[in-house]
Amino acid sequence: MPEGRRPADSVLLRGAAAVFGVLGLLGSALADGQLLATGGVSTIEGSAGGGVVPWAVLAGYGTSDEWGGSAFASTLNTGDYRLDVAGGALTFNNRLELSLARQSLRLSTLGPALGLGAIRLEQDVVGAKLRLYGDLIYGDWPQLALGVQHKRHRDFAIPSAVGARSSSDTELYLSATRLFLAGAGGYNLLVNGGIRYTRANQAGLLGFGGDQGGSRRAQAELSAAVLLNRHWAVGADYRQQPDLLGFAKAEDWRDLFVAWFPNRRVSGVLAYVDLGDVATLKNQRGWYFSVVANW
Amino acid sequence: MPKHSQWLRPLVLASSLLLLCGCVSTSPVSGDDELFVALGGEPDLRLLVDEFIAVSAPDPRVAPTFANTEMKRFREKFYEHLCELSGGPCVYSGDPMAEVHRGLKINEGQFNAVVENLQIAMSRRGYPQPVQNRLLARLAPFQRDIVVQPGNSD
Ligand code: HEM
Repeated sequence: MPEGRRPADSVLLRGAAAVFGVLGLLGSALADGQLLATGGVSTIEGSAGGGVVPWAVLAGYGTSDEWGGSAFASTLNTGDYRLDVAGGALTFNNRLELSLARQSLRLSTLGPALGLGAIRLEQDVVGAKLRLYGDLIYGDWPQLALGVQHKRHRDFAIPSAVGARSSSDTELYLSATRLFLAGAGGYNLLVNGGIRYTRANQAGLLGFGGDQGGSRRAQAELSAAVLLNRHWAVGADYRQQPDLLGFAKAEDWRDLFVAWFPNRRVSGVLAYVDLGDVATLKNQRGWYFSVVANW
Repeated sequence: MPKHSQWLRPLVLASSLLLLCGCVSTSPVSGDDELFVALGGEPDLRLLVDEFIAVSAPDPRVAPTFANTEMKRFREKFYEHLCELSGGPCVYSGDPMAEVHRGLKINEGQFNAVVENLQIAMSRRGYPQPVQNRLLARLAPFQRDIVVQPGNSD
């Protein structure tokens, strides 16, 4: 869809990005107190976690007396769809994470089929995550966090045409994450379990609610990862999806990933993602790449 | 049932079990000396302590805290502590962890720096990951005694 159709939105987003940048620099005695890899990577919605599942950890490597943050760019290509995401997050005292992401979904197959060319659908996600209790590694309790994501679709014509009820929504999630030292045959094991209260179709890229239901429901979000050493992790995500649009069944998402943490400044993710059937197109699978910078 | 239930069930089971057992802390010291042996016994463990000190000495995150420390004593007590913790034939004769570190105002970042330096030292000494992680798993419970807690709630 044409850029700049909603100039107010762009100004807002650019302003927010500028504020983020300035705050990030202010906090920029590098926040390095956490162990390598324990900040996770950036999810496609901007919050820290695995590839598609937010974890209870907060972005960056700051401890309770530091500010930190991250910026990322990710891309997923299934052939029929291509999702590009860019965004960032700021974390204050390992207590509160604020995040921003802009997602752009290219309909490589459906667009031309509808006579619209290779169109894109865009969505903005503004998130906040509060660490409630516990710790990823130390003490008796896993790290628990409560998150909220406000999503605003910028190109609602197509979601609306297939039955979505709303172009924006706010959803809550609760997640628990723990790193078990020597937990998997001597290797460190990270386990995350979460619940999201949502009515988003394909995470909101196809709008919110639909002809099959308008209310939010609890959906499971799980991840497990084994740290091969300080620098490499392999794991899997699973994310349940509500199925609210009658025109096509939505299936749960899952992925297998390899993440590389050469140092605290950058990390990279390579994943193989299976979104199931998406908007009538079968078996949407493909590679996902992501690069994250931390400070 | 949708086909992904074959993924979901083991994942749900695994995560709930693991999160559950995360709330039940296990005793740091097991009865046997398996880990002590895996660490190579006294000679290798002493070399690990030396390597750890060598890695930490130039590290600005931890070195200043040791400014007034008598290193000969630290080296001996730290060895004893690791030896006992790994099931070796030692009795730690130093002061209790909470008491030793209380006045030092050690923060979370410094504790993690020590963990990281130990990891680096263990890698340099050639220990496989599982041995490294087993030792760290026995050290992790001391974090709450050593670090000045940011709040009293967690
Ligand atoms: C798992 C982590 C740690 C273990 C197992 C440990 C163990 C010990 C042991 C056994 C001693 C000797 C006690 C004695 O002399 O009676 C000691 C002393 C000391 N530790 Fe730690 N320590 C840990 C973490 C730290 C950290 C993170 C710091 C700060 C960066 C630190 C700073 C010191 C200092 C400065 C002393 C000497 C105190 C003095 O001079 O009296 N330790 N530690």
